[in-house]
Amino acid sequence: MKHNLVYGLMLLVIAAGVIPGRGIAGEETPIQQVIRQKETWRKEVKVDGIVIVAKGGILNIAPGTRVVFSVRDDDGDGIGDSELRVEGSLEVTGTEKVPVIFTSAAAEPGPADWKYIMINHADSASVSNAVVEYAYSGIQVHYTRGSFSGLVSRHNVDGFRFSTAPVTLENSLLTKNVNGIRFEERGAGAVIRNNDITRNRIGVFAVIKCEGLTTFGNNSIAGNSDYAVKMGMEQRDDIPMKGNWWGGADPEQIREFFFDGKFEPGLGRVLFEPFLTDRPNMVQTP
Amino acid sequence: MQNINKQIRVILLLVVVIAVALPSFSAQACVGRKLVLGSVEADRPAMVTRILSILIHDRTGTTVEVKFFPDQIKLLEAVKKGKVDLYVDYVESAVDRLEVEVSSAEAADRFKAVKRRFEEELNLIWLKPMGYSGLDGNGRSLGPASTVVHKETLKKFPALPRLLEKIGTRVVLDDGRLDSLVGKSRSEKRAKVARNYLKEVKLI
Repeated sequence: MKHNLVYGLMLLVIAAGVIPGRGIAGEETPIQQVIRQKETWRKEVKVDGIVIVAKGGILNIAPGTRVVFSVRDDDGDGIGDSELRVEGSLEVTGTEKVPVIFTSAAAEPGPADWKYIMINHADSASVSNAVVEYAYSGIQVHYTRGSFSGLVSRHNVDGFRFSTAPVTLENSLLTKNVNGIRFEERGAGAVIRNNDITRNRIGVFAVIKCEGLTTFGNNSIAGNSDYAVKMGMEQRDDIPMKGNWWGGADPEQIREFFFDGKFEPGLGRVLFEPFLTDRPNMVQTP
Repeated sequence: MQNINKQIRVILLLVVVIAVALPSFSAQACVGRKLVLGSVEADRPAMVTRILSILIHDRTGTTVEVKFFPDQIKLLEAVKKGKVDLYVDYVESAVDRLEVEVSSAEAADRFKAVKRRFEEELNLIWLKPMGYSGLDGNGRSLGPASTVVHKETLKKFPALPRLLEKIGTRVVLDDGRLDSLVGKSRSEKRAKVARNYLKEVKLI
């Protein structure tokens, strides 16, 4: 009897480890592949469902690789369910001339065709010279130290999203997303520098729990249609963002680009002064 | 020996709990939270639901899905089953459907009676009225419109009432304004009309 109980529990543990990933509404999305050792992707790779880089596994993606995500919506919520989920290590090694591309398989692609590259509690993440497009959130990072440079994130809902993650994002272009950058600091400071954040609806969306640990410097955050920076409704702290280019030299005009405490009492303020009076020289992204 | 077996069982039980809880925790932490809004398939409720969905999404970052239902009864059934987190209901319509006993003709009293009944029996919370009245298919009034939210949903999203009640307190969405928005939605996308309205009244 006792043995039965023990075996039963052990079976449950094993089952918990192999249950397919579940969407938000509880619908199942099949796991296409679990990478447990070192693997390199080259040329064209199709992802239909979820690919997981498990703890200890390493996924290297070579320059010029096209990772194409199929359009499937298993839970019917309007957000594609194909994704790359990283718990081990991700090494994206594109070059300026030969970037890695993550894109949709749709003939007429649109935002949220696929879900995201989710880097969560991962061993490490390093992304150089990559294009991420037509996802719900291009790259999403949680509880992971990672470096991202030469990234072009476009036509996503969230271009680059992080929470509780001391990431560095630099020399990148975030454009034509709903939110260029979306973040929740939650005690972990990130570094956001030398980026061009333009032609999004919102340049930077500080959702909640941002306490000024993240440094924004030498970025161009100009030409976003609704706001350059928006505070979420419970973002109470000010956010230091000095030393960036906002598209003009008139402080009063620049203040109009922020949805912050000036707009609605109770929200934190964007501390943008002193600011750059010219657009910084940006590194060319692929 | 018996003690050792007991210890093993406790450890295994803990492992099982962690193994089962961890995926749901990480999914919650990564994907973000999601709200499902329900609406009847008609111009006015669909427009108001779109306004609410954009307000929630834009101010909180929460992913919002809108589901449509043929009538208020089927919508409420889905709400009761937990398939919908929040929807719009109307005081007089609710009085009739749930046979709420209320003798007073005062709007405030009738609202309170409905609010109490829904909270006690259905675990649903009526927020402050938004300013317009619902209409049935023949144009008859269904009474003041309010957003109705699951109690469980409010545990996960405690700031929702403060946000949603901005419509009705900070700005009033009255019948004339709503009809004007519905009129615009005949030539423009509903989401665009709703977004422009929210920007105009400085809620987003």
